[in-house]
Amino acid sequence: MRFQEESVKGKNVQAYAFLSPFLILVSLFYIAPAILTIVMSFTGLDGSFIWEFVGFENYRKIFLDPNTLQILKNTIMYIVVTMLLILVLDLFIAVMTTYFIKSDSWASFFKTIIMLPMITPSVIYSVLWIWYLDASDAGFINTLFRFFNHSFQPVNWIAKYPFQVIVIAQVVVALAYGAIIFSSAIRSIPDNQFKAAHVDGASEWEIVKSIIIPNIRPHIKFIAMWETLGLMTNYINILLITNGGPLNRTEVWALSAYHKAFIDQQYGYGAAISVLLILVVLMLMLLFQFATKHRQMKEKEAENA
Amino acid sequence: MKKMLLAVMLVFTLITPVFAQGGKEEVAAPAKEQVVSLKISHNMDFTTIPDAVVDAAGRLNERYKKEGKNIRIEFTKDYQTIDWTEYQNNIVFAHKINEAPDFYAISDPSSLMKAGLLLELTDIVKANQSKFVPNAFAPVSQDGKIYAFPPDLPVRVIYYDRRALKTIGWSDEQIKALPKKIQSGEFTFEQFIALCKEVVDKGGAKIGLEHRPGKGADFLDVLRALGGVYSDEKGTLVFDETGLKRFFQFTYDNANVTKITPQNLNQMGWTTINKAVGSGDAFAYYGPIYSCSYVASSVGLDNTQFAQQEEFVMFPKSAYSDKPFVVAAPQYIGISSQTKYPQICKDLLVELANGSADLLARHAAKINSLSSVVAANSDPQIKANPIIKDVAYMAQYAITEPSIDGIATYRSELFKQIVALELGQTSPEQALADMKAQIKLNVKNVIYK
Amino acid sequence: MLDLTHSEKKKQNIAIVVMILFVLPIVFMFIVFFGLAFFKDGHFTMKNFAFVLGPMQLRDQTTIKPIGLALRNSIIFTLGVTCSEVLISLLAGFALSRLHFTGRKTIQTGLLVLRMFPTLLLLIAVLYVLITLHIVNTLKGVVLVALAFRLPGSTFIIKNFFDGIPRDVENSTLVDGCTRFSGFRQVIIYLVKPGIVSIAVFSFLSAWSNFILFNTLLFGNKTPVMATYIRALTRNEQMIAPYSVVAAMGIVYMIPVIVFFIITQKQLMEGNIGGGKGVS
Repeated sequence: MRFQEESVKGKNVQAYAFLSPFLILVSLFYIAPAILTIVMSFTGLDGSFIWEFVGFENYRKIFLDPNTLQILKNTIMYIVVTMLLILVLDLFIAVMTTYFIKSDSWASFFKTIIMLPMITPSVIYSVLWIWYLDASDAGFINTLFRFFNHSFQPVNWIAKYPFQVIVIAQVVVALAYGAIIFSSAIRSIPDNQFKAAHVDGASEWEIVKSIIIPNIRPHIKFIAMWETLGLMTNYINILLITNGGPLNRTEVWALSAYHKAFIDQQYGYGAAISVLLILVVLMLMLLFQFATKHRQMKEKEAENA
Repeated sequence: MKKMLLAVMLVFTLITPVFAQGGKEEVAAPAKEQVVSLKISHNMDFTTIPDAVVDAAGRLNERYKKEGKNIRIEFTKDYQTIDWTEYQNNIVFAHKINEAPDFYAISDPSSLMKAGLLLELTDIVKANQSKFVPNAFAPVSQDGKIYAFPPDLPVRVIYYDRRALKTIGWSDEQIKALPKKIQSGEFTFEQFIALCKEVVDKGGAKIGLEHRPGKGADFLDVLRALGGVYSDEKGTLVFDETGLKRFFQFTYDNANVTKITPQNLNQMGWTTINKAVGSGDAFAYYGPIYSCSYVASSVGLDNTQFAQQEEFVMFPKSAYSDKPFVVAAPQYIGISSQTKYPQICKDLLVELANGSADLLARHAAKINSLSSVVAANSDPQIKANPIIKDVAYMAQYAITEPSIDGIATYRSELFKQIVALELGQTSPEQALADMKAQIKLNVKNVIYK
Repeated sequence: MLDLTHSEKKKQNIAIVVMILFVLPIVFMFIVFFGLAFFKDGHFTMKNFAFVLGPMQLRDQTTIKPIGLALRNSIIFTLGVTCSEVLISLLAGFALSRLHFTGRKTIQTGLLVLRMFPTLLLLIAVLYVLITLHIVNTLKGVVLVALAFRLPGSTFIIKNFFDGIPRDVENSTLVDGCTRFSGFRQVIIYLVKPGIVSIAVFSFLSAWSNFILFNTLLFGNKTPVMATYIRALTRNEQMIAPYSVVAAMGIVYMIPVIVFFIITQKQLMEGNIGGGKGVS
C-alpha cells in the first residue's frame, strides 16, 4: 500500500512540517520563558535588572514571610469552596435544563443567559461587580436593601466580605462551561435507563443519584480537575475586583507572584513564588493522570476477567 | 465557500504582523533643517506639565530660527492614565530596550537614580540657582548631584470647611483667627483633632476627618506631626517604632473610638470622598493642595467658589513637634539618561526657568500650587488664583524631604496597615509588628529606632 | 416534537420557574448596569457614547481619546490571533493525531503538561525573550505570545476531534489517489468543523478580553486596545470615568462578542467544547 512505501524519515519530515509553527512558537514563548523563570528564581533580579545569583534566598524569604501562611490558606479555601460550588451548581443547572426541561428553546434560553458572564471581558465584568457592590448610599445592592428596610446602613460589601465576593464572582463566570459539558453528557445517557427507572417507580431524586451522576462521573472528574487547575492559576478577576483584598485577605498565591514581580519589582522573588506554584500544579496533574490510568487499568482488568 | 474561508484566514494570519507594525512614528524632515524628534511621556491628569515643555520647545524653535540655527524640535506626546507603579515600570523597561522617552514623569526618584536612568542636571541648576525657590531639589539630589526638574511646588495641607465652624457656633472673628493661631503655634494638632470630634458631635458635619483612599505620601505628614521620623538627612529609611506606634494608635482611634473617620473610608473611592469634602459632609481632609480642584468639581464648584467655603492650613505643631509645617512635594519630571539630545533637553528646561516661566505659572495656577521658579510666582496667572493667594505664606514653613531609598515599600506597607486599622481588623501593636516584619524582609539599609 | 406526559410537563414547568429565579439576578445585574449607559444625571441621553466619535472630556481635569484606535487594534489583534491559532493548531493537531513519527509520544505528553501551565507567571521571562528577539513593545510581539500561550490547549482539543474520526475516511481518500495534504483538507472539511468552531470561539473571547499581556508587554500608549483603554479609566480605588461612561464603553466593547456569539451559539451549545470524554 502507498504509505508503507514512505520511509520513516519521510514521515518525520512531513509531520514536523505540520508541527513547525506550533513547535517554534511554543518553544520560544513558552518553554524558554519557563526555563528562564526557574533560573530567575535563584537570582535577585529587581528593577535594576542585574542577574545576580542568590541561591535559595528567595525561597527562604517565602518561608520567612508571615504573610505566606495567610496566602496559602486563602488559596486553598478559595479553590476548594469555589470548585465545590461550581460542581454543585453546574450539576443543578445541567439536570434542570436537560432532564427536567425537555423543550430545547427553554434550555437554550437558560444556557445563553448563563454564558453571558463567561463572555464578558474581565475588565467589564469586574467593574460590573464593583458598581453593584458600591459602598456608598448609591450602590445598587445598598439601595435595594434600603428599599426593604429603611434604617439599613450602607454596607461596604467588597471590604467586609471580600472572600465571598470573589468566590461568587468567579463561580458565576465559570458556570457555563461545566453546565454545557454536563448537559451534553446527560443528553447522551441512553433513554432506556430512564425508562427502566420509571418503570421501577424511582423518584426523581433517586434517578439523579443513581442514573445521572454515575453516568457522567468521568465528566464530573474532568470539570473538577479543570476548574481546580484554572482556579490555581487564574488571578485576573481577583486582581480587578479586590486586588488582594483589604490587607491580604483575598491574596492568593498566583496573585502574590504577580504583585511581587510587577508591583514591588522583585522579579526574582516573584519567579520563586511562581515556580512553587508550578510544582504544585504539576504534582496535581500527575496525580490525576495516575488516577485516570489506574482506573483505566482496572476497567481493562474487569473487561478481561 | 470553505476554500474562501481558508484563504481569508491565511491572509489574516499573514497580514497581522504587517499591520501590527503600527506604532512607530516617522518624522519626515524637510531638506535643510535638522529635526530633533523628542518624546515626552506623562501619566495622569496634570498634562499642563508636559504641555509646558512642549510649548517651551515652540519658543525655543523660534529663538533658534532668529539665531540662524537650523534646528527644529518636534515632540511626540505619550500621555497615559495608569497606576504610577505600572507607569514607572514601563519607563524602566523602555530604558532596558533603549526606547525610553526623552522626558518623563517621576513617581519614585530614588529607584530611578539608583538605576541610573536620569540625566544629571547639576550644571544647569547651578547656573540658574537664583531662578529657583530654595530647596526645590532636595528629593531628587544624591551626593550633591541633581537629577530632576520641579515644575511646581504643591504643598500638602489640611482642608476644613469654614461653614461647619459657623454651624457649631463660632463667631466670624474666631473662624478668621484659626489659621493664624495654627501658624503661631497657639492651636495644636491635638486641639485640631479634638475640634473634628466637636464638629461631628455638634452636628456641624457628618464626618470629622478624611484622607486619600490610596497609598500616598500624605500619611507621612501625620506621622511627622506626631513626632515620628522616617528618614535621616542622608536619605536612609528609618523605622521609628515609637512614632509609628503613636501613628497607628491615632489611626485606630479615629476610626474606632472617636469615630471621626469612617471605618470603610479606604473602600469608598475618590468620587465619594471628594463629594463628602466638597459638600461639607466631611469637615476636614488632608492631602495635596491640588486635590482641591477635584473636590470642587465633584460638587460642581469652581476654585473661587470652593475657596469661599474651604480653608487650607498647615499641619499644626503638636506635643511631639515644635512648629507647624507643610511638606512641599513637586511633581518632578526628568530627562532620560539615554536621550540622544541631552543638550537640547537641558536647554528646554533652562528656557522654562527663564523666559518661559509663564508656562510654569499656567500649570501651577491650574493645580492651585505655587511654582518652584521665582519669576513664575509673580506671574499674573498665579496672582489671580484665590487659593494660592491664601496659602502663599506657607512657603516659609515648607519642608522638602531628601530622596529616601525604599520609601515606596514603606508607604505601601503603611497604607496596608492603615486600611486594616481603620476597619478595626488589627491592633496598633500588631500593625507595628507586621509592618516591621515586612520592611525587614523587603528593604535593605533601614535604621531601626 | 416531544410529547410530554402530564407529570413530565408539570415538572418541566416547575423547573422553568426555578431556573428563571436562578438566572434572574444575573439578568438583572447586566440589564441595570448596561442601562446606565443611556442615562446621565437622570435623563435619557446618548452623550455617554461621545468617546466613539471624538475626544471626550470626563470632568475638568481629564480628557480621554476617542475609542477608534483601541477598537481597531483590538480587531486586528483578535482576528490575527484567532485565525492563526485555528490554522496552527489544526496542522499540529492533525499531525499529532494522524501521523506516525518519532517523538510523537513525547510531544503528546508535553502537550498535556503545557496545557495546564500557569502561563501568566512567565511574563517577565517572556519579556526577556521578546527583548532578545527585538520585538518587545510591539503588537506583533503580543500576538506571538498570545498565540504561544493558547496553542497547547487548542491543539489538544483539535487532536481529540481528529482522534474521534475513523481511519477509514482518510484511508479511502488515499486510495482514491489524493496526496496526504488533500486528504487532510477533506477530513477537516467534513468532520472537524465543530472543533474548529469551538477553538475559534474561545480564542476570540480570550484575545478580545486580554489585557494583562498588553499591560506588561507594551510600555506606552501607542497601541491601546479596548481592554487597556477601559482599564485605564477604571481602577480599584479610583473610577476615573463615571459608571455610565464605562457602561457605554462596555456596550461598544461587547457588541462584537455578542454578534460572534450569536453566530456560533448553536455549535457551542451542542457541547462540542471537546475534551469532555476521554480526557487523556
